[in-house]
Amino acid sequence: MINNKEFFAHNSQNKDLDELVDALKQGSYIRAVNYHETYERDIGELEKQLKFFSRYFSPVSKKDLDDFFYNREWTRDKPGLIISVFEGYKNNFKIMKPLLEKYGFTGWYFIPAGFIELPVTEQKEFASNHSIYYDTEQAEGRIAMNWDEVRKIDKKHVICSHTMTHYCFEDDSPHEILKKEIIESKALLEKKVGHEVDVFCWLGGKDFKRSPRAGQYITECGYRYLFSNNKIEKLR
Amino acid sequence: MDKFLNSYILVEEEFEKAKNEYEEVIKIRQERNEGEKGVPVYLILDDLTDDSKEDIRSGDSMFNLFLTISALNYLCFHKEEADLDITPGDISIILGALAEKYFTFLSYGNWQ
Repeated sequence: MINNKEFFAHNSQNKDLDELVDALKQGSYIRAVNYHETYERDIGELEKQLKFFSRYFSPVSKKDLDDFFYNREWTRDKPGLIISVFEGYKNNFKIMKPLLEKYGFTGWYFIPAGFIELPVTEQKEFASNHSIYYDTEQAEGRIAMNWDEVRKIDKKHVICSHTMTHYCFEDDSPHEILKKEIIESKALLEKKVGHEVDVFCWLGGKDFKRSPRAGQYITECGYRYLFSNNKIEKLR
Repeated sequence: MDKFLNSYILVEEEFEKAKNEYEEVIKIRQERNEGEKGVPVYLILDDLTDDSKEDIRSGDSMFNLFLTISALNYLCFHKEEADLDITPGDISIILGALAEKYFTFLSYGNWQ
């Protein structure tokens, strides 16, 4: 077994470790639950989970997140819980949205804008080629939301960009691709919902500090928050 | 960090118990169908607009220290068979394990 004193001595200058320790000690974190497909067959399980969460946690709206960063503390009686819903599936509207609203939660919907924009006949092939998994036995016809459904979600929840094509940033990603995935996805979502969209997340969840090339575009086009695997980074 | 760690390193018996708990949680995490079930995570809050780095406090108070110690010991177990350098991927695994253990059905038991 590793001798833990030796282990930590070896890693004592590790910035990732320092950051983790400081964040946990100070309480500089928030809890989140990530959902993808939300099938009709799982309604019972989903409701059970949300009912459980509503008992112990508070919803988190965009304003709540703004206030949390601004005031430097969470002031509600129960800890905050962000519920993230990924990929823009049709069942995220039909099944998940009513459940979130029944239990008073704000959903943070991370949508690849290009997926929603596609004709129905092209969605399954796109999903298969862009790491958007779906149940091939259950899927009939449309598998993505449509823009009307996105706008209905937008009334009570947070619409976020999850790139244009569900893209995973690489260190050598071309600038043209970065522009499309970061800037054009934002522009398309804003055109459809009629207001600013200022939350972004990559496929693969890289954070801002580890993607400086992409970071240039992310800040220039006005995103305020970047969600990654380990963090929520406030950019402006 | 060294001063903090030296004060709180677990004694051998507690370390072994924590290792068993960690392995159980990781097994649950690996068997989970992430595409269908809610996957809990902790997200660190990082304000890149603030040079002062004033603390952001979630309000969990005393729980924070327990969470920190758990995370550090889980990291030990996680790196036991590999090299000792901690990577961002390791941090993700540990934050996920903490979330699985400390704010889902596992932690709250029979809540019905």
